[in-house]
Amino acid sequence: MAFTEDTVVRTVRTAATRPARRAGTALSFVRTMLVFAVAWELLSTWTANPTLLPSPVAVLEALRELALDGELFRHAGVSLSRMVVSLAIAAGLAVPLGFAMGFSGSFDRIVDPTIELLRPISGIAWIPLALFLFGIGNALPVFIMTYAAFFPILLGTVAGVRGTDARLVDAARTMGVPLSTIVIRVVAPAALPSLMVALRLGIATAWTAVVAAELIGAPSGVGYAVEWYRELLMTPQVMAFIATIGFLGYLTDRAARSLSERWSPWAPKRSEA
Amino acid sequence: MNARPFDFARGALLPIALVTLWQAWVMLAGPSRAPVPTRVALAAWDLVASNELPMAILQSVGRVFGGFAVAAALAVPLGLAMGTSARVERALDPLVESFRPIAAIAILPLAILWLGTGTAAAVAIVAYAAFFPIVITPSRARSACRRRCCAPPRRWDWGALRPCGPS
Repeated sequence: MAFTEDTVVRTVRTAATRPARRAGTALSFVRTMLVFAVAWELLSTWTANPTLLPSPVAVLEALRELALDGELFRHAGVSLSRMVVSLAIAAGLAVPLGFAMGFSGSFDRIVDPTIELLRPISGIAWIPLALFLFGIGNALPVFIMTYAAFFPILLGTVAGVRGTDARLVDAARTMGVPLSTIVIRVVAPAALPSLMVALRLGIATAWTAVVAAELIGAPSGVGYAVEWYRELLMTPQVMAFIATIGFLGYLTDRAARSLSERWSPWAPKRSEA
Repeated sequence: MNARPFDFARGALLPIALVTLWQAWVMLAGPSRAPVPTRVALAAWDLVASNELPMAILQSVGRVFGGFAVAAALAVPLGLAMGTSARVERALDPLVESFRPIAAIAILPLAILWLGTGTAAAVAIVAYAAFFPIVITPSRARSACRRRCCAPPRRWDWGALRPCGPS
């Protein structure tokens, strides 16, 4: 059933037509987006209310102006740097804790209930309290993002450490390898693929949280910009920033993915569909 | 059997220690307006007794299910169409993949602009968030199936509500 002639034929055919297929994908992308833009344009002319639904041309114009002005890059830079800082903090806290929890069952049983108590509380729910504790500024979004990114990274680390082949650890132990070396040479490489996936999840949740935190509690950043222009009823700018948020989210995910391919090339790959 | 209450006690150790620490910190050194665990517990009791918290929970749960229902009503047919027809998928995939990275929270200002502040905007945000995981699942499942060298389900058995076909 597995390797019939049909399979072989299909494989060969796929290999032969790959460049053509890629060109076809690009073409269908352009076609879909054109249809979407035309539909949007028609809808906006029909609505005839640029505050409610501006035309795509106006949004592109706003995007161009914000980019030329430098405002776009300023806000994006602020948000991205906040994300990098909070990811570093979250990873710095979660990875050692995850190693400890993955290694020691008794430590895990003490800490895990507290983690599971806090984990379901989404980062966004802490915003009012954080506003009271930190005020408006850099600390609030960084705290919210750190909180949001902490749990996925922790769980991924624990899973990775637990998933280490016990025979490898036993073998190293039998040969008298010290524990620190086992952690660095055996467990860390085994846990790395899972950890990188966890980092990607952390980035995604942190990026969602930064927008929410900046909508409410920061005087800068992409979330703040969206809220600012909404209050001014400048919808083209709002949409331009929303598109930027999506684009940056996509870019950071791509960056994390290529980083994980570089750092853990032994990870099982999700082959191209 | 004896291990169970012991496990529970051990698990409760850290939360209790943290709450005690919090109480001590506020009573000894904290700012006067900082919330104290005892006051938090009292406030929680008041909220439950006055029926405010249960009502709020009910409202939130209602919005979650409402938003999910909207998302499922749109995403299930669309996802199935994308999963069964390569042409539909090619046509719609760029659109789905362009909007997917935009976090639901970022749509909030637009939702408020279009639907005002209220249940409609909340439901719209929930629906937006739930839409993408549902809509991409059938085509993901199909490509995963293909990778394992089995024929993808081509036909959908409406009687049994499941795909049928060569497997």
